Amino acid sequence: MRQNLEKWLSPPDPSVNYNAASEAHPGLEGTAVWFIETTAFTDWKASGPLLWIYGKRNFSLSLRLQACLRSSASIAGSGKSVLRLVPSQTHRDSCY
Amino acid sequence: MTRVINRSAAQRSSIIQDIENGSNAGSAFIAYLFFDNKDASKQDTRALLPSLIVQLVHQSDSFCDILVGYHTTHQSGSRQPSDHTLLQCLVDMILVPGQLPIYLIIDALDECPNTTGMPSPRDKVLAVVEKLAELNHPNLHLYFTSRPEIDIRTSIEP
Repeated sequence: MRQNLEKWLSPPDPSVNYNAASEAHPGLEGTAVWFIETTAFTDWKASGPLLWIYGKRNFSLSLRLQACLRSSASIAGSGKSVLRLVPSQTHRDSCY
Repeated sequence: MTRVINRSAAQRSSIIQDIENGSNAGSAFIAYLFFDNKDASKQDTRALLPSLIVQLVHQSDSFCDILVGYHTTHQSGSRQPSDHTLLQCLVDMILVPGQLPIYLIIDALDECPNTTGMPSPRDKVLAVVEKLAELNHPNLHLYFTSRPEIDIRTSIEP
């Protein structure tokens, strides 16, 4: 059924950007893990509803975001569990 | 409450990773779209809403059931839903009681064009973001990035 629903809505695939960027610029993983410890972020994460991050367009932005998404996906695939909310060393290692 | 923060790209990546970790641990739902001014299929609400909805459908039977309902009322998929219907579908998913947090991540909103159409594709996307934020639902967490262009700033800032 899910395949029928997906065919009906025909959404674009965000992983296309992710894969292309990752192949073109390997190694652009994220840094600045400290930010997820800031009050602004933790407040938003706890209660929402909207967080706008703005700045000069930087192509590496999406690459880094997507590199981290891939990193997290590999964690899921390996069956390891990771903590939510707490920016542990495990998080950092998984992203570098 | 809207929070506006000017942060570097690197910091944004950490945010996504933190949220993703929550999703992988089965403690959150996450859906995302990166707008792309080089890809005409990723520049408007017709990209955003179906993409977010389908990603959520793959994560929850409750979300799937909701979309099945809309599919049924659209003659088993022989008719396409309007943007309004898609937004209502997404809202229905957000309002499912007793569920895990939902994180919606929208990157590079400024890559939606604002030079054609009344309203422009960017106007429509901003309207969706505003409506979702106005729900002020404790389960919904919206995150988006963009250049600080004036129309986006005007729309989002209090």
